[in-house]
Amino acid sequence: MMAEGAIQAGCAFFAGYPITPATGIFKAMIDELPSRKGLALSAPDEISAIAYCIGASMRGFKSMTATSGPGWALMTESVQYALMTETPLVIALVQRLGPSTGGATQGSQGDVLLAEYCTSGGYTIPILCPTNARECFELTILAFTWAEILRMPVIVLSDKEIAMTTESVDYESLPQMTSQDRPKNSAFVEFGEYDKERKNGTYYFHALHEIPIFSPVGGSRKVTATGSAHDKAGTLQKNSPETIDVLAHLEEKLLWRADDFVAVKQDLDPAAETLVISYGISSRAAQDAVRQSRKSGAKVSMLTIQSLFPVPRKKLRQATEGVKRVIVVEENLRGLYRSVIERYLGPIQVRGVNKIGAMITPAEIRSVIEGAV
Amino acid sequence: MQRSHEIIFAGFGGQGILSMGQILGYAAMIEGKEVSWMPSYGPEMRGGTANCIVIISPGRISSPIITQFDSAVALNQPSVEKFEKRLKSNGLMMYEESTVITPPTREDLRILSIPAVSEAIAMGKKQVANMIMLGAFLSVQPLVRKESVMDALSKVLPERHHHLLPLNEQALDVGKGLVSRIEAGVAH
Repeated sequence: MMAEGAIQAGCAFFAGYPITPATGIFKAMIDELPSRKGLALSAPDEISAIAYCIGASMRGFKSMTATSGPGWALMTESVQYALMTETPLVIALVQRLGPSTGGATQGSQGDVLLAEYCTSGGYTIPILCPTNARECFELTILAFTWAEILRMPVIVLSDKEIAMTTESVDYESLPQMTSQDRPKNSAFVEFGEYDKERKNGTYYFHALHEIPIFSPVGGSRKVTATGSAHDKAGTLQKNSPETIDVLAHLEEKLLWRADDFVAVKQDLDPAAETLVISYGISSRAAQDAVRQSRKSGAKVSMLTIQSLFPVPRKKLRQATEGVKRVIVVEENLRGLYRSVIERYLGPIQVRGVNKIGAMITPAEIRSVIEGAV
Repeated sequence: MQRSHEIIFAGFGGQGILSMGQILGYAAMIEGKEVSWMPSYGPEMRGGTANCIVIISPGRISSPIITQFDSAVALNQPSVEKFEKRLKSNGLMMYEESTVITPPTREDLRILSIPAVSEAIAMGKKQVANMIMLGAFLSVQPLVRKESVMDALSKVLPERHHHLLPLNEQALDVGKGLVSRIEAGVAH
């Protein structure tokens, strides 16, 4: 469904290197994309795969790659290059049990922080997290929109259970959405004069949050792409005020639009004493648990977070109003996302339901909601 | 179909465990039901553990993982031991006779031993043991029609294997026949 979403979003280029449990996306793209106006390549390794994608995107094509934890480890250098050069890119990261090669066929939600904090400088990388096959379709399209609008890499964080479980999806009912395109220079094809004030340059912005107008590498306009600190013309400069502005701009362009980026599913009870927060595959067991606990009289709300980063703070604040305790359900050892959102929850008691090596069951979550543990 | 039905198929890799579940899932989808098929297997292709959880439901399915199952179909001893405990009261435990030495013991279950492997060998193709099990399962739990299973098979099997469709259909019938004979008290 991710591949289907990508194609509907207008993805024109895919490169990947097969890795369980992301191979399904790789295979679907190789099978489908060429007959649907795109190019899909099997790269010799993950570093080449993401580099191919960055190159295609710099030329103007919407691009995607897909991998899992070990492959992501190899991609983290290049993803920073995409961030620095303001290159739109979608990465499907399908989590499996780590560390290292870990358990290829065992699911996990252990890459949440590895995905988010992959940059030197700690830039916010948008992460969207689907909970089922249908959302893989919808959120992949959304990821393309954000990657294009923001001109930066966006991660769709899935996991083995979501990627490898087969579920029924009614194709007819899928939204006919498409992704927005990056703002392109009107002189995209025409040869334009090189503007001395660089205002037509592919990195030029006035206010920090503005998205520069894109010009393709290899087009009529000169484009300098560099991963090194640069000014608005793309010229190497270490710490000039303009360069510092560029570095601040890379974060500001996202944060300024952070409220628009929010995607959550709320199932709130105004009288709730307990709020269950979850994401991805675990949220589905959590929804089941919440439904059952309500039947036995528990006052409980549920918040499923799809846009993990930037952290949807306002939604967190709304959902926690009047709540006495928060339970964060995620399939990792110590509560990775819990450690991130705890700081926004004030004095509310927060505890986790965590597990590795197997999925968390509704019964395990329910026992915590109902206070048996 | 009033409520959802949750089944675990379990055994060794190579026995066709994942296929059984997948074919059942597709068949239910063809009939317009909501389905979820979640595979779980070890790092090795053959000989490791393999199981899949299939949920068939009249409405939207929330969690693909569940705490207790309505039915279990086991093709080896460890699966019987592991999943007997996780069946609902009055659930169905169906196991393959030759691969299980110590049968399940719970008294609140419906327990059926199916000699699928020996029947498959008698048919000249032991690979269809899984389809015999599926046929037996469907005769006890008629969740989908046989025609839907055959439709699903023709979609799941690559075309180069389509000459095997009649054999698979025969295997489904053999499974159904075994259950009737067992229930009629005829020794096999």
